[in-house]
Amino acid sequence: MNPRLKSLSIQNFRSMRGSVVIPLDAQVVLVHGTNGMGKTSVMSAIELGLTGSIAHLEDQSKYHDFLTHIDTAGGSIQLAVEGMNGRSAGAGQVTFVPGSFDATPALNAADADFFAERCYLPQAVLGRLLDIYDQKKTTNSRLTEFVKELLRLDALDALVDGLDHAFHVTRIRKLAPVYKQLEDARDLLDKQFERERSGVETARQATTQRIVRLNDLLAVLDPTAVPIAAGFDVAALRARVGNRDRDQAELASVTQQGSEVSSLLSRLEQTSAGSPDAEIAALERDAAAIGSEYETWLNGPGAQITQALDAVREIHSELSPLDGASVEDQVRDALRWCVVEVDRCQRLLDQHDTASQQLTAARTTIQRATTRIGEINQALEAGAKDARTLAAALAGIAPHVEGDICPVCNRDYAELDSGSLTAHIAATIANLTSEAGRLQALSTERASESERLTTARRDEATAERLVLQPEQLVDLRRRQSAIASIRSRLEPLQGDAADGQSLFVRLDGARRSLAATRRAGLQSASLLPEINDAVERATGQPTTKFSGLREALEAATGALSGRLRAVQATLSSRVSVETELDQYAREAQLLSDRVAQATELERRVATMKGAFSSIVEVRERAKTIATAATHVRSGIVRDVFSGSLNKVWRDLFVRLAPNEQFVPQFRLPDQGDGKVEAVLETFHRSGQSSGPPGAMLSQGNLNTAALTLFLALNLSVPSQLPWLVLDDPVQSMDDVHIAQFAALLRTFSKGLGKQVVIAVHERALFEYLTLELSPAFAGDSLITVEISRNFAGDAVADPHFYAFEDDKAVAA
Amino acid sequence: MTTAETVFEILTKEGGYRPLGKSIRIGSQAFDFTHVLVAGEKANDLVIVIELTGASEDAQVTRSVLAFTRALDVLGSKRSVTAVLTSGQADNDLVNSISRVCRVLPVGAPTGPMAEEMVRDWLAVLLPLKSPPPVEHLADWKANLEKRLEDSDDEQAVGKFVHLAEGGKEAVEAALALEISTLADKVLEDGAAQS
Repeated sequence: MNPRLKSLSIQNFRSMRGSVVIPLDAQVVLVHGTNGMGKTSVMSAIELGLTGSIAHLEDQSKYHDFLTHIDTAGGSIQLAVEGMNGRSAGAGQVTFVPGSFDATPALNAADADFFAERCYLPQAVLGRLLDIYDQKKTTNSRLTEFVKELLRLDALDALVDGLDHAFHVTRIRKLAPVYKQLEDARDLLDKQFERERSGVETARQATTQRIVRLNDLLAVLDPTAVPIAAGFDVAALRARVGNRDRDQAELASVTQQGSEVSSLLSRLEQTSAGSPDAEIAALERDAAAIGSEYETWLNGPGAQITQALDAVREIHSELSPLDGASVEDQVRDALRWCVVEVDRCQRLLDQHDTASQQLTAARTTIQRATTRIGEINQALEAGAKDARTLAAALAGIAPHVEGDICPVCNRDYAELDSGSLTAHIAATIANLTSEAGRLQALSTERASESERLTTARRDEATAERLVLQPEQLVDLRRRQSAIASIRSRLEPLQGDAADGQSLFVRLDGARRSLAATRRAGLQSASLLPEINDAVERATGQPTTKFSGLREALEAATGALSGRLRAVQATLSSRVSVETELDQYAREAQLLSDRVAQATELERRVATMKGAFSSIVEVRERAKTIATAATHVRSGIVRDVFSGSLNKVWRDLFVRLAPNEQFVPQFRLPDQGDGKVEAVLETFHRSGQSSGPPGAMLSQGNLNTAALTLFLALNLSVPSQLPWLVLDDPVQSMDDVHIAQFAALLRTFSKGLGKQVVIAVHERALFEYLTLELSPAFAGDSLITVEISRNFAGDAVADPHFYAFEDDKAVAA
Repeated sequence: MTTAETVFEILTKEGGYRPLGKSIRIGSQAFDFTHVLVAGEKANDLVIVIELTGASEDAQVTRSVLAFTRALDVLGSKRSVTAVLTSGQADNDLVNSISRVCRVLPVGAPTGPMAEEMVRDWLAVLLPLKSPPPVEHLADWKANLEKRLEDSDDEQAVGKFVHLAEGGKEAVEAALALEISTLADKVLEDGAAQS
């Protein structure tokens, strides 16, 4: 048995006071009532009885409080159904008082949803239906819900939705929280590795620097030693450097020789100071006199000469350093150089002056020639445009002139009263011709100007090479004057220089003879062999090589102190090398530790990378599957829309509006990413697609489109409940549509076996539908119910039962 | 074929209508229309087909339709009447006056390649509703999915997830999470053991 609504009883519900019973046990139930009598209340009561709620009011809170009739304290609804095959208890019960609502719906949740969504069309929803289904939301839109319901693709949806996480790393983190940990661990590891690597680098640099320092120190110890490199034998080097025997022996020997030499020196002082030798005294006096004379010279003219020569040396560094023995020659050389240099400077300056003049001349010429050529070019350009074409054109026109009528504009030239037109044209041509001559002259001039310009450019280039830069010029002039001034200072000093030189020669001679005499005096003294021996040992040279004994001893002291410094340096270097070696050993150990640590970390980073790439593979695979599943799903959805829903919708729409040329449909543009976004549009019956329904259809036909969409959706899904409950769907339909609608309702009830409950408010329509939906065969049934109020204001339901009667009028 | 003949053919072949002959008697009165058809078992429609020719007068057509429906009323018949006007253009007055007593389909005379389709659209309301094609064959998504993924070398994973999908979104999510977690855990444990 098919599910069927049996009866409805209502007490004090909304606009209906009192109690009414409405029989529903017929293939078609027609409910009539004028506005305000409670048709919609009957429809809502059916919905409440079946589902326990009023779907289109669900988003308005507290509608439960307004279900009770205003004059009463509480009400109830009872609804009976049958043929539910155990899916329902067969009855729904709703009781309500203001502030309290209690419902035991007749349908289970799934059936209730199906009824609310697919079987019941409240008036409030009809107007919004197209908008509801034209949502631009891709997920969980009403259309998506419809498709899901239609196809029962739960598993496919589960696949798509379940694998969708793979597309977003944030959702992966949420899905598998350990992934976040792994990421953190990876970041940490990366940081550690980075730190360790830079640590290794620092340690390596430290050892390298240490080796460089060691090499420097080793070179001090032994310049011929082979430099060490990384990884050298620390112990061997330490053993080699640690050997100090030779250094200590050297130290002892140097110290001993030093004390010998200093004692010899002091004895020598005593000896020479105490010598009464008269010859030596005379020589000393002599030498002292010459010395003081030379000193005077040095402080007087000598200082001037030194100054002047220093000044020359500043300019001419090749001048040899000052030497008392050749001061005269030096002054002469400097003077000669000054003369030559001043001449050279003068020559350069003269050359510069000539070149500057030439340059100025050339530049003037260039500027003038360039300007002139520019002018000529302009003149030529302007002339070329006008003269040549116009002269030719006028010459062409001239034969066509008859009288004073212009062949171009047909006006009479005589009107201007300025001679004949032919003469005017001839004059103009002559002008233009002379203009052409002028242009010829101009171009000749341009050629000669160009030539001048070229020559001037060449001159300019030559002159530019010879002209000095301003800095050079200033330098040169300064140099010339500086040299000239030095020269004027040097010239009077030539005589002084000669004096100075002769003084120096004399002084030298005196000193030499004094020293020779002294040495001879000491030959006999016992000191001499010792001095000879000590000097020989210390310097490796005989005493005679030195100018005097004192000098020889001083040289010996110098040599010894040099050796002392060297041996001390060597010893301290050895200590330094040992310290450095200690440091090096520590650093090398640190380096090898860090390298080991870094290698370990590198291995772990590699493992981590491996794990991530495995996860990426997992994600990629999931994405591939999800993408494929999405495509499959959209393919199916597209097929459903084009193959099923659109077809049914068109069929229904055409039935109601046979002369409407634009038919609504869902278009499914392929987004390329597998997502389906249905767009409401219309197409012309010829197949051409057109604008959206709102733009293409009249209000009546929009209503029709919504109504037929509802019916198409109902027909497209597998029918769980064969019911259609329609609340006054024909409000803005014209007569033609109503007649078609009646036929369509009949098709639904009689052709497709749906139980139809419909409320209408218009009397004529009610009667028309009563006729149209009359039982047409045995077993077919119709109930009409009139909802009205009695004089007391209580609701009254007046049902009529129609059964099939064989039609006598037309013998079928 | 005239439009009236097309109408007749569509109604008889596709709508299960039976012809009642050119003339029909309702009670004592005889009526003469181009075609009169009566619906099959589950409906009680009467369809009259009227060809509007040069000879037809609107007033006469109106009168005959009104008389016909009136005769049915008098006999208490519950049959609903549909008047199909073919050939000539029916003007608004004519349609309005007869649409008060019956359903009017002013088909006219459609031409062109879509002519028969247009006639069928007009008559659709009289024809049974074709149920939409079953959708099950569209929903063989597994085969589609396998076809789409046949290039991928991971049939095992595909099979696994398809199988899991039967258990709902949560099962798929859990499997994906497990795969990732297993890989992640392994590395994390290694790392913990190392450090």
